Amino acid sequence: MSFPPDPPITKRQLGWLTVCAGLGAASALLAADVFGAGQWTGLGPAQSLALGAAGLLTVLGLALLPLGDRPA
Amino acid sequence: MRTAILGPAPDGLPRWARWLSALLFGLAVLALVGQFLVYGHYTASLLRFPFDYDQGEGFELYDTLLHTQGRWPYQDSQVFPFYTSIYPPVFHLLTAPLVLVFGPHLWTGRLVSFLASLVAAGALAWAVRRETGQTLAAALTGLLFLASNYTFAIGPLFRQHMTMVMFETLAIVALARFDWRSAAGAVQAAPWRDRRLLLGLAALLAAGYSKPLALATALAAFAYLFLRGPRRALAAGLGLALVGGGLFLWIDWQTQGWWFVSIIRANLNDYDLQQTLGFYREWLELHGVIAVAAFGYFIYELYFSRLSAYAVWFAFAFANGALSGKFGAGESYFVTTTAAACLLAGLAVGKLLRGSAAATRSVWFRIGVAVVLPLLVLVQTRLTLHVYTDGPVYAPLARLLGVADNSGRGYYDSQGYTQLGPRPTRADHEAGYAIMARARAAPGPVFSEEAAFVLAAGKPVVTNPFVQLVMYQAGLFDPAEEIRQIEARAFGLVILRAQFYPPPVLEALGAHYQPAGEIAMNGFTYRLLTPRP
Repeated sequence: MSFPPDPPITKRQLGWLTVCAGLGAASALLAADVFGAGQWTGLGPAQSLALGAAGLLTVLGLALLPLGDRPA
Repeated sequence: MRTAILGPAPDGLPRWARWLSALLFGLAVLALVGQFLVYGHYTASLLRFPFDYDQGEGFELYDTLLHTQGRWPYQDSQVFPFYTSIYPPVFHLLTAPLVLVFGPHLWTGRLVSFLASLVAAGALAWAVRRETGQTLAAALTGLLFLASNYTFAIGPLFRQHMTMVMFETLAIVALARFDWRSAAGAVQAAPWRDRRLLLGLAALLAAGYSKPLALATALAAFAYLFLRGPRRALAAGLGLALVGGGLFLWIDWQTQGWWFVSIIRANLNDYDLQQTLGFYREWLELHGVIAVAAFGYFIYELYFSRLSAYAVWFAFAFANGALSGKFGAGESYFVTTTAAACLLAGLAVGKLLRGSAAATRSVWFRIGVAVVLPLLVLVQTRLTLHVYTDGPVYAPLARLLGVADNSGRGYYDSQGYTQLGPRPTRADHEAGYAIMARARAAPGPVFSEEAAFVLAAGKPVVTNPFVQLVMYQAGLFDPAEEIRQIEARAFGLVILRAQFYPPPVLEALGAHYQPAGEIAMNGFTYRLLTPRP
């Protein structure tokens, strides 16, 4: 099997991936709340925690962006 | 002596610091070896105990027995004998040769599980030795994993969990040195023939077919491979998915679809966030030193170095603890996290020991490392302390350590009261044989919440209570036929412990069977019922 060049992921790319994962998760959680999933009015405790984790993931990702093209 | 204990680290240390460090490291190793001896004692006591110690062990033995007979345990549990299993087969297949040779005894799987914990600990230690060159850090890593309350409690049980952890550990340790590129940076022409990749993927498959919880480790492994070469990682992931999926479909075809119902649908249980948070809190409290070291080393690799397979594994394993809120989940969901955290902590210790040897380091930094590290290991050992409190050796030891029985059964555990850990007593053995004798004397099949009694009595295994309960809750189990047989008083004896049956089944038992004695064993009351006239 022949593959084209497949360079390793850089710190910056990992940062963007992590930011996208964090923001994506947060968006999904908020969307679920808007569309009324779950048993709570507003954000439930599980959603709040998950939203906090998504925020943390975003911050971790943002902090990776300045590290440039070093391999992740 | 300093070279033997600390390797190159204490060069330039003052004599007093060298001796103090050696003394403290010696104490730390002694404490951890002492914990390991307690683990060995606990294991030996369980190997001698022929009945269920943790509810469900007997059913896993029955799964193993079915495999030795060439039969799948995944079947329609709505017809007699109302039995199915919700666990994949690898652990049972590993135990099957022992059952074939020695018969259906619980010690077989307990021994396999205990050995799996030793292999996992050995693999963790080997990885740290390989990465850091530090024998001491390696030994501490393996011993710290075995000293965890969670490893201790479930290590010698006839359960599939420790086998899963063993394969997860072997997979990560094999893959950690694999790269799509050579050390010189050239892309490998045929990475698919690389032994490390093949061993790693095979171990991942074995872990997943020991327990589906290993999915997080599989994701971690592929995340690591993705970082090193995303396209090739996706191809490797597709390959493993094809093999794993093909095996899944084959077993499903062999079992007329009951494999999918039992393994997937029956495992989608109710979720309790508070339970998850409780387990996270307890794990962090018990493994505080290891956790801080692991998080610190993860951050170091993320921002200042390159992410290793070990660090990625720790991140995924820690996140996977979120599943511990499932109905029926327990502390065992954190054993993989403990293994990964011990590995990272060992790498951190090894790096500090090596780093402190650098000529540029000040003498106070070296003294700090040489003295603080063993103290931290001692603190961690105290956090996970578990020891028996009675007998000529343990009673004085417990007094010396300043701990007392907190289980009511001659056992102290730093996590507080726990069902697992105390050794079965002579009275527990006698109680087990008394229940087994009642089962043997009863006419017809016995409706037992634990399988070991009926296996020992030579009766067929009927029902698998917890599985019935979760399947009933998920709408996958209709108890009508089982209730019909209860109403017909088809069972000569009923043995209940935790009453983990669907409510309609318990109601039928109450209506058609009457109390016929209670026997205490291992801190639980076993209720015996016979048919009402």
